Amino acid sequence: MTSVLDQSFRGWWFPVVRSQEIGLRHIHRSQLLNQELAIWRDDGGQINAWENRCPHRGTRLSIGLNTGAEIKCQYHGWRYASQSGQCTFIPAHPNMEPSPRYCVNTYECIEKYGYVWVRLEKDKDKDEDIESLFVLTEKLSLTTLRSVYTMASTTRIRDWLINNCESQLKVNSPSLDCSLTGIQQHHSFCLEALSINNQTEKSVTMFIYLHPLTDDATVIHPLLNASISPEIRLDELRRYNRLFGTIRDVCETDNV
Amino acid sequence: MNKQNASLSNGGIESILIDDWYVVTDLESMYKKGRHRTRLFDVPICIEYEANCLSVIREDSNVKLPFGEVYGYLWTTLGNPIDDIVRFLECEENDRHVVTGGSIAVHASGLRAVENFFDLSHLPIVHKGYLGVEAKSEIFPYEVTVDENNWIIADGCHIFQPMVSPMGDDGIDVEYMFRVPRPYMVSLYKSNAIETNRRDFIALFVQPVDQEHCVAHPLLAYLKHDLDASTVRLYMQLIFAQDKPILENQQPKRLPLDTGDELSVIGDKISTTYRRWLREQGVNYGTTQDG
Ligand code: FES
Ligand SMILES: [Fe+2]
Repeated sequence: MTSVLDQSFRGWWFPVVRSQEIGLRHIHRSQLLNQELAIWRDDGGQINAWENRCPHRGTRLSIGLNTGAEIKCQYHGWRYASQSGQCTFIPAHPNMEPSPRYCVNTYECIEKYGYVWVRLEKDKDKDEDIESLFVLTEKLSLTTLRSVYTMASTTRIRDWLINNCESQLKVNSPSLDCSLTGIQQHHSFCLEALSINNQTEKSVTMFIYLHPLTDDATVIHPLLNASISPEIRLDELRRYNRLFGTIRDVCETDNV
Repeated sequence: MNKQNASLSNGGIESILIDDWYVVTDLESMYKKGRHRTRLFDVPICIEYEANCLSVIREDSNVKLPFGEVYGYLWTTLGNPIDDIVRFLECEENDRHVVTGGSIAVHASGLRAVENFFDLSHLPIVHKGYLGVEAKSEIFPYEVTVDENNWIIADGCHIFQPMVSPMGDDGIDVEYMFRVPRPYMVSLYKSNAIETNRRDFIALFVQPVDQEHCVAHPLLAYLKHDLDASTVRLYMQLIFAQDKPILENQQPKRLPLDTGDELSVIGDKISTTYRRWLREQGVNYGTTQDG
């Protein structure tokens, strides 16, 4: 079986985590296409997506210290500068200036639509700009919903959403009081759907991004093309949470 | 155990590793528990203590394994060791506490655990306030040699350590010597604060459970003075508890031997020597060369 995580996808942009989750001096540990990442923000607000491995003795940088301008590794205290990933200080040799090869592997990343987007490699033939991955005709105010971690492959989730979601959710989970319809695919990792509130019969456009962690684990990042008014915010968020929780459960159980 | 059987069942593990003795449990806990099941080089083994008798059985073939009781530990082998279980002179001196330090399971290659034990430059960072201070983290040149017994010796390793004393946070320059007698075994000698011409001794006997799991069995031989044995043991456990989360967050779990895989500095000379020494002896088990 060929993996969905073909090497060619390393040139694609993926949303990896909601921007709001990368708080002050935090280091977020994630994965993309089997590659572990350490995602952090410096005190100037710049975002970094690094290989989660100190080049010295392999310690995860996500257990290190975000000093606001650098990451300090927990094992021997080497420090790496925001953006460049260049080592700036080696405590064992305080008077030595680390040469350029003492550098963390860094990846391109940007913040857009409420997410941190990462790509692992530059793809020369397909150097698309990020807008083309994400077709928003009219830009309303967007709402990032809670991202859902699933133990299922990206292919599995995509196929189920396209082929089964509409019929199965209605029949089997009437209590969800919301459903998805008109699901279409923008590209391998982005779907668009109409989300219908069964009580009010109102519908909103939703983008569903699939973020492959590994060959058999995926994060679903649902993005609503609407703002939610404060009075109903909690109820609405719970509704969507139940919807995607159900989708996760079904995709994980039937994952044969 | 006949030779042919042994070589068949040892899954192609290099002789330098398999034909040697490994600690698999401490004796004191064996007498209490009566039975202990564990693994050595992926092979399930069962140690039993019944009617004042110890036995070690390979569970995949039900073969009885030879064993020895040395320094409070039970040692066994899956192969045919040429040498006896390693002895250390310091442990025979009777003005020392010779104690096992509490065995700790670690989800990492045992070779990573050995490297951590002789790693000087992490002392002021991981063990700051105990075995070093961050403001005095510089590592000065030290000498690394391989002696006539093929042991790695690193001598003249200096580190500034805080003094645990009621007088304040003074410190002293402490000198270490490290010795690596086997791929999965390492020992250190550390200048004693009271008797400046003698040294405290710690060894780490690492049991390779599989290529990415190990159990570290420490042995301490500390000059008694007015220390008691339980203080010595607790201190060891405190220190090791600071290392364990680091070890379990190293990637990859197996030790890379290619010089290009991880970057080193001069202060890592013992580590770079160790990796070359492993490579030259064809050690694969627990390294990224294997699997
Ligand atoms: S492993 Fe990160 S500084 Fe040594
Ligand atoms: Fe340590």
